[in-house]
Amino acid sequence: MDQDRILRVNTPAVIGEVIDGDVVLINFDTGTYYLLGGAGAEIWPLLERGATPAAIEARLREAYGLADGDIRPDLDRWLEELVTEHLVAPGEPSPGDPAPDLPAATEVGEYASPTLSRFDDMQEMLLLDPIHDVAETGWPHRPADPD
Amino acid sequence: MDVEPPGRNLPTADSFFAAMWDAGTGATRTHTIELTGHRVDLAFSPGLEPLLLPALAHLTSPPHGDAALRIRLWDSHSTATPLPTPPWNRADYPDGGEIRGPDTTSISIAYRFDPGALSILDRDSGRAVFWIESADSVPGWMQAAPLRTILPWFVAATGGQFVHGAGVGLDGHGVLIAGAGGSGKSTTAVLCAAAGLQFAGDDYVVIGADGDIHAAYNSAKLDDASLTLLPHLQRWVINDDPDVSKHVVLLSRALPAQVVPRLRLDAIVLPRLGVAHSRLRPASAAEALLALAPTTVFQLPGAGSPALRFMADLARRVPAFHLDLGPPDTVAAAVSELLHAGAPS
Repeated sequence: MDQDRILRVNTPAVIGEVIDGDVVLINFDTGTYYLLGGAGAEIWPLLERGATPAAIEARLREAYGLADGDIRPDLDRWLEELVTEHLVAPGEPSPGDPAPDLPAATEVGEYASPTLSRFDDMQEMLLLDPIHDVAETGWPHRPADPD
Repeated sequence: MDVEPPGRNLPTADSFFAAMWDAGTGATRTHTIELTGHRVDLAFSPGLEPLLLPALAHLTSPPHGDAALRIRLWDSHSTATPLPTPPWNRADYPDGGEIRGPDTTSISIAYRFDPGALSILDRDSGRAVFWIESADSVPGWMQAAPLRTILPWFVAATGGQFVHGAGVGLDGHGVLIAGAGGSGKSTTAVLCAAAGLQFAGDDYVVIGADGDIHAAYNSAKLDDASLTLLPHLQRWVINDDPDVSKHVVLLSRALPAQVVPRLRLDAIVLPRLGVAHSRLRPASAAEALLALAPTTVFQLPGAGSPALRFMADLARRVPAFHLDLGPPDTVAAAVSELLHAGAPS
């Protein structure tokens, strides 16, 4: 993963809320929703403001006091997963982007790898009846009754 | 899909609303309901009144004060009135679901393809129109939850939120039962009502700006298995929806003493099927939000970030519990136990 390419949340299709150390995400384009755990709750607000993987790693090291240990492969794998799920997308930095903030290290606790759980059970709600024809009036016809 | 003929001038949202309102003069059967403390006047066409009023009938009240919202519900068949020209192009129709817009800051429009129903709200004038082709087009789910688009828009504008959940209670204190289809939500709610608990809704309830559970519909949607558990409700089934195999029961008729307009929200309950004995276990706020939010926002047009934020605030504020559902005769006792214990307020 390009460490200097900014990642942004795929708005407006994706909405999310940080709640008690987890993040609930909803993707309106796909009908899929997600639970982010571990350090995901610290990383998501950074992605909402636009952040590079390098900046996220630096912030995590600062917040969790991680002087040693290589968290980059772990972080890269997780961020790639977010990109694959179309939750975030690479983009260019804007001049007005504020520096992302993390809570002070004492509030964060011990580092745990970010996790992503995916739920597909709502997708059928997006797969409703297609429109087959539109009348001269501009309104759709309902598909003909088979009998 | 056909190509749009060139040169058609689309109506604006304002002119389309005016045309829809004027075309609804055949909606002459009037009723007043009270929803989260707001007066809502309903005018039905003759064809729609018997189908779309009953699930709201428990909210009817004598008119007092000014109406916050006036809704005309009309169908083309019983009023012999065609739909006005739509405010969008043929090419705007997506492959499924519904078409939105052109919304303005005041006007919201949604056309749901199946069964072909239009909802339009003008917040500035406090008026709305619901249209469907004919009474024959009204599916069972719509009888169970009429105005499922317009009322959530209106409630959101008053600081509340429609949520996909059930509400049951005891002595005015209630729990919000949340979960997607198949979680046991409806069965839990109706088992509780049948056991003497108060009932504020099965499929949808309103969380008001005051944080309370407010009833919207007195209906319950039960599958075959649930109806088998409660055979005395069979005679109150008003319509079957073959698409989802759900039986719509009006509790205002089946269990009228149990139906209440409002409950104080003490806890969120997340039912789960299949254990030996019904039991409660603490759930996290994130688990409550996962059970409540996706199923709500995917079903209600226009429910986006503000709705998710509302439900997240709710999940942070109100304690949540898993309810492992045991034998049917133990379910209501488990919910009663939680309400008797007095969740933190």
